[in-house]
Amino acid sequence: MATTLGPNGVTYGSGALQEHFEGIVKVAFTSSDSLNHSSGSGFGNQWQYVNNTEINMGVPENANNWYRVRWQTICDDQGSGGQGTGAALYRWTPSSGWNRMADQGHHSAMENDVGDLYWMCKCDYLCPVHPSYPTEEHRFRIYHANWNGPCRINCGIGGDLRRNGWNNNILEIWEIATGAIDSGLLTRY
Amino acid sequence: MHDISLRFDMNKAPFLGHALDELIAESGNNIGWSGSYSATTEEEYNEFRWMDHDAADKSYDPLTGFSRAQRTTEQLLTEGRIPTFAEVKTRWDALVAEYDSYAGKRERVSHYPAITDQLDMLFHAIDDGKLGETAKTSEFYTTIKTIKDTYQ
Repeated sequence: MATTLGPNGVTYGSGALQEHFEGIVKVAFTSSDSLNHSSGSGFGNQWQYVNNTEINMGVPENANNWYRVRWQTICDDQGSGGQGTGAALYRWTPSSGWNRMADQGHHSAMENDVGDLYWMCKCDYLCPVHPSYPTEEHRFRIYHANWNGPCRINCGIGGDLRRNGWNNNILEIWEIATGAIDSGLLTRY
Repeated sequence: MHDISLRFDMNKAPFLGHALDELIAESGNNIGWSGSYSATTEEEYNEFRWMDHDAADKSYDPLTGFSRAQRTTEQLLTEGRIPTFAEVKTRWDALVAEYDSYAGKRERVSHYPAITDQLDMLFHAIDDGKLGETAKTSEFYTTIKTIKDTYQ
């Protein structure tokens, strides 16, 4: 039997049907519309949701799959004083609720009173399917916390995406099939 | 304006968020907020999420995805713990007016000689005995004076 390309994917000689690119189960992306967003001046665990950075990835294809999450935004300080921020990834399933899975620290992207400064906060997270609820819908959000002052993100100084207005931020999530992954020493959580 | 560095920002005028931060600081209320720093409307203001830093329970609620110390604009307005949008707008307008009045002074910044060159001019003025009124004929003085006069 020859390999054929049909409306539902590629059918191999063995009869196996491949419905998507090998290893990539699903890709989704979005962008926050909260221009010049400030996450307040809270410390520690006072992470604030960055409006509309929520993606519903649906039910994972396999319990051992991973999600690769990419987020980037442009930051600006607010006048004098040292200020910083950092991004955190939250995961949701109906049974677990929203939980912080990873974070950079609220001063991972900061300036220490160096005057007017613009810089990028970028993160690449690897997050596993929930080990206890692998058959449930998975959603993800980006939260930010500020260090010491009202550092702002999603700055309107340029524009790498268009969502209503120009916003310098993007959230992108890939579900990657377990068969295509060597997760090294990473732990599932 | 508390933060005079805002006057010299070459890229942007103060935002509504600057005005709000000032008013909260002046009130002494221990409140934080999250939202668009460049919001312009009351509708946007009403959508801000607020953090009551004095709340007894600041634990995280996984059901909502937010802290239990989170408050709405409506709640805090009722309690009188945050300024009204009109009050924020009034302060914001004042900040922008002051920023606009500094347009010439912001322009000076890029025209001043390097600090090392200014100090060198000053050294030579002193070395040449240009002190007192005579100092106004020095290169240091005339260079800086010309820039100040040009960019008001």
